[in-house]
Amino acid sequence: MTLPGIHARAEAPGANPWQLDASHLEYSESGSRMNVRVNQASAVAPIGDAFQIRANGIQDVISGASPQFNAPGPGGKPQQVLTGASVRDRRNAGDIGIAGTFGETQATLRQGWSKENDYKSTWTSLEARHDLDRKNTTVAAGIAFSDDGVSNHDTPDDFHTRIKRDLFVGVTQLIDERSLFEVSLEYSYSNGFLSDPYKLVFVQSGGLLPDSRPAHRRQLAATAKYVTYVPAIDSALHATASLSTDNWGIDSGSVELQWKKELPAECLVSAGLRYYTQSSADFYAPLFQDQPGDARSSDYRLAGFGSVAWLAGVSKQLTPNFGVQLVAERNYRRLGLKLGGTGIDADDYLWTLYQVTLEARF
Amino acid sequence: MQRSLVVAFVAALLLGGGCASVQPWERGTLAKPSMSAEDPPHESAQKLRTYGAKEAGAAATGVGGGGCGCN
Repeated sequence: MTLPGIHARAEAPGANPWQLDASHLEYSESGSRMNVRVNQASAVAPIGDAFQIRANGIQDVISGASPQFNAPGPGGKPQQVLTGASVRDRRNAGDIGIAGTFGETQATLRQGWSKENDYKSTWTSLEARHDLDRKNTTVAAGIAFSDDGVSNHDTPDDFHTRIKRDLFVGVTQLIDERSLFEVSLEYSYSNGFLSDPYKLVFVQSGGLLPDSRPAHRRQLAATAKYVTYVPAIDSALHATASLSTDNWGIDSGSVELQWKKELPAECLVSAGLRYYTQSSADFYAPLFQDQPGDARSSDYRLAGFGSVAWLAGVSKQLTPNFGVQLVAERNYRRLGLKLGGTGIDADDYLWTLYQVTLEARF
Repeated sequence: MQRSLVVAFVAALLLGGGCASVQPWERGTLAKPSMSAEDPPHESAQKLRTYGAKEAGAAATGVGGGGCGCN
C-alpha cells in the first residue's frame, strides 16, 4: 500500500473513472540464485461519484536456489551454502476493497489473501486520509492485521502461526507553489513463529541447528519525503529518507534521490539512486563457535550490510485512456556499506528487476 | 532510537504547520505528473515487497499487503 499523498492533477477522463492495470515483472539475482516472475492485475470500479470497489490479483512464480547456511571454507573463512535443488514455488494472492469519499475524508477498507505451498496469509487493513486547509495539508492513518501460517516443503500441512499488526500515521504538507513535504511514522508488532524454516546455523562444536528467532518483534520506522520542481532544469526532484529500529537490534536507514522530467508527447522519464544500510540482529552470526542460545540465525538478510542501487523509468500516455510504464532497478548488496554489527562478503550479490505496466482509464 | 524517531516526527509536524497556504489557482506546477509524490500502484507495491523480502529494515509507507515466504 502506497503512502497516501496529494496530487492535484485532474483525473482524465472523469472524476471517478474505471481503472484497469496489468503488469509483468522479472526479478533475478546473481550467482544462479532466485528468479521471480510476477503477474499482477488490478481493477477499480466506480460506484456513483463517491465510492469505488477495488480488486487486485497477483501470481508469483519463484525458482532457483537460495542461501541456506554458512560453512567454514578454506582458511576457516565462512562461505555461503545454497539450497541443493532448485526451488520452484507458485504464490497466488488477491485482495478486494471498498473506498469511499465523505467530504474531505477518504477511507479504504481492504481484505486480502495469499497462498503458496508453505505459506498462507490473511490480512485486513483500514486507511483513511483527511484534507485540511483546502488540501494544503493531508493527514493519513492506517491500521492492518495479518494472520499468517508458515510450514515447509517437507511438512506442508504443519503450519505455525505468525501474527502482525501495523499502525501508520502520516502528514503531507504543501510548502509553496512548487514544493511539498511528507512525513510518516509506522509501528509494527509481530509475534508467533518468526523464524525461517529453511535456514540453518553452523555450530563449530555441534553441526547444524535450525534458524530460531525471538517470538516477538517490535519495529518503528519513520519516512520523510521532499518533492520540489526546479525551473532551471524543468524537472522535479524527489528525496526520500527512512530510518527504522527494532527490538532485534537491527537499525536501518535509506536515502533515495530521483529526478523526473516530462518530455513532449506525454512522456515522463525518471532516474535515481538509492542507498540502504542496516546493522545485524543481536542473535546473528555467520558461524557459531559454541552452542548458541535460543535465538540464533545466519540469515544473510539479518546480517550487517548496505546496498546501492540505480533506478530508471519511462512512462507514456498512448491515448487519453491508455498508458504504459517501464521501470528497472539494479541493487548491489555490499558488506562494506553496513551500518554496524557483523556480516560476511560471501553474502554479497546483486539483484535486478524489470517491470512493465499497462494502464487503462475510462 | 525509538524516542528519537518519534521526536523527529513531531518536530517535522510542527515545522510544517508554519507553511503558508497555497491557493488552488497556484497549484499548476504541483499538478504536473512529475510532481506526484506517489509511484504508480503496481510499481510501488513490487518495489516495497522486494525491499521487504531482501532487507530487515522498514520504511513508513502504509499498511496492508500480507506476508509471503520470501527467501
